[in-house]
Amino acid sequence: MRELIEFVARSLVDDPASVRVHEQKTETTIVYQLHVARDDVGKVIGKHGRTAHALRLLLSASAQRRGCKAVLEIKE
Amino acid sequence: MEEALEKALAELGANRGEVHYEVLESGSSGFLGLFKGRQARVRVERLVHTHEDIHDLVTDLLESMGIEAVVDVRREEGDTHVVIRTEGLDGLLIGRRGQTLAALQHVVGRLASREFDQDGHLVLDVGDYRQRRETHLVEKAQALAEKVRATGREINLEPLHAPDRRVVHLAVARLAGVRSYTVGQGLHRSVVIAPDNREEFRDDQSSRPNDNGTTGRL
Repeated sequence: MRELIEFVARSLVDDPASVRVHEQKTETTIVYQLHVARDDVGKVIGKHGRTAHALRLLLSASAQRRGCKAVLEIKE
Repeated sequence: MEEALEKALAELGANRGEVHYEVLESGSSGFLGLFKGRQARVRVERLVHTHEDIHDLVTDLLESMGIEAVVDVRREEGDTHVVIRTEGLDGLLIGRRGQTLAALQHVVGRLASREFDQDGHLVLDVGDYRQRRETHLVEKAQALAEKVRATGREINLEPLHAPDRRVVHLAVARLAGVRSYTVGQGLHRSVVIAPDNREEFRDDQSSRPNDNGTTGRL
C-alpha cells in the first residue's frame, strides 16, 4: 500500500525526491500521510480532487486485498 | 508484404510492438510469369507510446497494490485498449458500480500522459466488465424509456461517469418518443430521460431540441 502511494506520487510530481510517506497504525486502520513539495500538492490532488479520490479508491482496494483498512492524508 | 514491413521497421528503427501498420497493397509474385510481380505497400505509423510501456506501467501499478494480473494491450480504432485479468480479484478491481476501475483508468491516464505523449484514448477494462456494463445500461435505458413513454413523466437515472452517460444517450437517441439530457455537476452528473414532445413544438422552432434527440453536452 505504501508502494502504491509512493509509485503514483513519484510519477506525478516534478520533485520525486521530496515524496515521503509516513504511516501510523491503529488496531483496525493504517493512516498514511503523503508529503510532497509545496508546488506538487495540486498535481497529487488533481482537478476537483479527482486524482486524490482515485488514489484513495485504489488504496482501499489494496487494503481490502490485505484484509485491513487504510486512510490517506495529503500534506505539504 | 512481410518484406515491406521489415523494411519500414528498419527505417524507423522500431520493432513490431512499437508501430501500427496497415496493408495498402498485398503485392503478388506475378501470375504464371506473364505479369510482373507487384510490390506490397504498407503504411507504418510509429506509436508515441509502445504497448510494452503501457503494459509495464499498468503491471507495476497493480503490483504496487499487491495484485498479480495478466495485462493485455492492443490497438483498436485508434485507441489503446488495456485488458486486465486476475485470478479471482476482478471484482475488487472493478469496485462498486465500476468506481475502482474508473479510479484505475484515471490514474493510469494521468501517469501515461506524463510519461508519454498521448495518442488516442487509453481505455482500461477488467475482464469483460465494460461490455457487460454497456449491455446492462442499454437494457436499463430501454426499459426506462418505455416507462417514460407510458407515463409521460421524466425519469432521472443515478449519477454516472461520462462514458456510461454516453452509452445511455446513444441508446435513448435510437428510440422514438423520448429524448435525454444531463443534469448536475461533477460526480453528480446524471442523465434524465424525458418524453419527446416535438410534435407539440412543430410551429415553434426555437424550443425544439437537437435533431439527434439530445440536448446540450453529454
